[in-house]
Amino acid sequence: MTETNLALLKGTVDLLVLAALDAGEPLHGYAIAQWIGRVTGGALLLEEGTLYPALHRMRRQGLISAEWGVSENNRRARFYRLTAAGRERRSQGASDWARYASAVSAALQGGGAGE
Amino acid sequence: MSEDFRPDPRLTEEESPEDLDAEIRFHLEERVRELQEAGWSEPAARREALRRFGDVHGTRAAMAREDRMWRWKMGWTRWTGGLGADLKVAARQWRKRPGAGMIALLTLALGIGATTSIFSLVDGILLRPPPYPAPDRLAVIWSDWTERGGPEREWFGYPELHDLRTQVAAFEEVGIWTDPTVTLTGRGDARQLVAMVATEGTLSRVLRLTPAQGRFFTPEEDVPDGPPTVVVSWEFWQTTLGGDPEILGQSLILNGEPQEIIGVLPRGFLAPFGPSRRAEVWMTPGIAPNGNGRGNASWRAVGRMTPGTTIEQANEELRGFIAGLREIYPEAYVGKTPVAWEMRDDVVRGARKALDLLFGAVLVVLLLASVNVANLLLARNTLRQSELAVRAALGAGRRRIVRQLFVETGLLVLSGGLAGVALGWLGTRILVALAPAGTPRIESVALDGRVLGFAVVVTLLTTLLTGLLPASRAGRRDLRDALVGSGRDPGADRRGIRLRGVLVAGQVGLAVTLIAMAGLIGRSFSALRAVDLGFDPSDVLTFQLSFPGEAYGDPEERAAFQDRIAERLGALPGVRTAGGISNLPLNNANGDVGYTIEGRPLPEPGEGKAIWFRRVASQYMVAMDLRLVAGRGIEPTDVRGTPPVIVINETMARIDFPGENPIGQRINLGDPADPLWFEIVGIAADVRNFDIRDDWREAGYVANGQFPGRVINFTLEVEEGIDPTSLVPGIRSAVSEMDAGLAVTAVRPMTELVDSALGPDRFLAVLLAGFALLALTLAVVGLYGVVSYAVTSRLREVGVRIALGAEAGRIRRLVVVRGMVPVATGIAVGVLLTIGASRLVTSVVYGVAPLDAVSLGGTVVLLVLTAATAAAVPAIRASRVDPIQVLRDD
Repeated sequence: MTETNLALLKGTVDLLVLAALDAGEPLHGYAIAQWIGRVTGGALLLEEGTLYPALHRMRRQGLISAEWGVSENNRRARFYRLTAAGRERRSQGASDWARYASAVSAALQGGGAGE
Repeated sequence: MSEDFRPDPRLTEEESPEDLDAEIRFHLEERVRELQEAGWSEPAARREALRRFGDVHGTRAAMAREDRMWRWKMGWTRWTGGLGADLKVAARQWRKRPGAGMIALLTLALGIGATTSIFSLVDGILLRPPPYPAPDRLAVIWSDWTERGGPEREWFGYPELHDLRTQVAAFEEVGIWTDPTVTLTGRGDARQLVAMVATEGTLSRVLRLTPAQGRFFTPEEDVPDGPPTVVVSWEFWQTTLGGDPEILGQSLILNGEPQEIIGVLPRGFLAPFGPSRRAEVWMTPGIAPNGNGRGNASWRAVGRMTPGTTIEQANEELRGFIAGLREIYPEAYVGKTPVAWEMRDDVVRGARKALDLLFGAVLVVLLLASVNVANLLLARNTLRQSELAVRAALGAGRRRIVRQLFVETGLLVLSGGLAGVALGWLGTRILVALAPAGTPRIESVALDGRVLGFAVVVTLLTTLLTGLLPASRAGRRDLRDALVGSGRDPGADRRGIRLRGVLVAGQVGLAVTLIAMAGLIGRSFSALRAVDLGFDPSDVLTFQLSFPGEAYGDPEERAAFQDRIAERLGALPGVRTAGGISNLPLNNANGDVGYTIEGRPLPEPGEGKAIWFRRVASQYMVAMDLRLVAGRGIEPTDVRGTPPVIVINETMARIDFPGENPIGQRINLGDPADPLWFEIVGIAADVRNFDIRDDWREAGYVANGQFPGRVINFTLEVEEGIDPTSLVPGIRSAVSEMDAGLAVTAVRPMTELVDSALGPDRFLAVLLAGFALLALTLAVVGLYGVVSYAVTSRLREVGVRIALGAEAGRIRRLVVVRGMVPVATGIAVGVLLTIGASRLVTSVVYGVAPLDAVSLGGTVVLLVLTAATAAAVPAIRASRVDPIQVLRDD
């Protein structure tokens, strides 16, 4: 495996979690990790363990809520869903990220983009 | 600064480690399952799952750490944001108007301090159980002689206690002891020790004592001619015996007999009561239980009840036991019944009433203090109403303002409480120092954790009283009310003044009651001081000598020697006369002996009479100014070989010889079957022998020369103007020249004995006077505050009156009269309260009616005068108001 994976930038995990939960379906931690792996095509190197402190923190910030339930194969798992505040942060975060990303890529590509 | 005081659910919800573990485990197992489905072997799948997850332990630790930080941060934010700001404002507020704050703080400190120290006293003496294991099951057993007109708490003879111990099942063990003094020789100067003579080796088991060294006696050792053994107290071992580590096995010479030391008592040990509490040596009597002395009064008993037995059951069984004994020994137990008291109750029976009274007084003072603080805060918050209104207008919610006020009060109460506890600590030490010698269990009085707890409760109660009252009023305030008329709402003012008037009336009422009680106790005390003792204690020095052992075995020689000592002492420079007596008056010494009168029919069993009986030596009657009413006193010529003589007291002459001349008649102090006749040669004045409050009763003096005792209390009348204690060195050398083995003990002026007999009453009187003064001060401060606030809030009205030409005198009268309205109400309430309370002190007062017009009237006059003075100060200020100034200010 040629390691072209990207280490995650700080704060990105939160955004990814918000995105994973944005579909409205409550997901457990493992499913969130899978979702991230799937949509990024494995491009991002997510150390799955870092997901849980993030979930915990976001729960306390009131962005997501958690509830114990039963998984597809009948095991006890904690399911997370977005709160109203979380949805707001999601859209805010997405647009912030887009502006940030385009600014950074513009700077990196343009070089002398003084036109 | 949230208005919402409900806890945030996200804060209180804890992340439980179990939940976290379950979540992580689920994650890993799902990954393993997926990898296995993709064809991985199980071990490889596990490794891969863990690799992808990263550091499991690190994750968990990071979460826990973050949790803690978060909680701490949130808590801190709330604390500093809310309370911190409030505290800052509160401190600023108090600094801005330090006067009211200081008065309130002092008031609280005094209230809490007085309460704490008295509670320490009550706690130490009344509430704390005796200092032995399982104290609830300990009972003191007394012989109750009230049925035959004797004392309620007499002692027993050894034989019946031995029977009681072996027959009464309510007690699993009974300790039997007596407390003589013994003379120690061979270790420095000869001296007398208080001994605990305990039989049958049981007392240490009853009290569950463990020796610090060695052992206690066994029952087998306590037999006639048993081995001479002794147990010493820890303190005696440390001081007299120099803390010698090899002390066991050494011997002590007590009453001339060597005794082997077999054990050391635990440090600080105190026996239940009596002189043997601090006994320096414990010995066994080595006597047979079935010997003489049935129905005597020479042994004490304390029992340990079997578990589950109540004191009532024990007493029931004791009644059955004594009924059985009476059948066997009909004469010995007539009118004598053993009665068990729970040890805790027994020790403090005498002190209870006085302590209740003090406790009541202290609660009154605390109440007064609280009301005062409430009053001060009320006035202060009324003056601040415009400020509060502005705060409300700027958006502070009602809840916010109430909380602010509450914090301000809390700050005050906390500092007042701290100052109060400090004062309480000091007060406790002062009380212990002031307490009369012999106050039961005074040594266990100390400011301890429980007392501190009490102070905290009191502080909290005070917070509620003082904090909620102003807060509830401030909470009602609305902006319009407050801002109209530059923050003065006359209606609210009037309501406030009325409420404060009611509080002042209550204060005055309580103060009247307390002061009247203190006056009553004070008058009772001076009545006690004025009691005719029957002798003159001034210029008399007393001390004790014992004449133990074989050396003084011959009575005739002993009497002659004692007379020689008296003669020698009488010749000392500065001494007028010297005498001696077997037991000094007011020395808590019993000494009854039964008697019959010659030529009269013998009394029925149990109906015989007894007299206080004393042996007097040499010039005792002269030294003590004991007045002779008729006949002669005991003379030096009344020696062995001459017919026995007795001097009786007036009461006996009146009761036994009404209308007759007792002189020349004979009474028998011995067994009716084997009479020992004494000829009455004189009648002496009545003397307070046992207690200053006692009624007179029959007493008689016999000649020590004819019946020499082993213990003599010498009484030296010194020349006027000489300090009696300055003679002590001369006395000691004179005595040791006569016999170096004699120990001079219990040296004290006779006035000291009288003083200590008055001690408990003085203690009560002084304390109550202190409380009364405190109550008066608090009530006056309260009244002054109310009147001067009323004046301040009516300055405008006063200004108008003056502008319209009212005279200064009229203004003054108006203010004082208005101020005195609550005082008058309060006095009326107080008089009623006093009448109610007077029933409670009946048994405490002496020589005064419990409802005493003098103390009550005096109290009323005192209060009217002080209250009028307190009202006069603001009244004078009012009359000097410059109307132009006041009206312009508005």
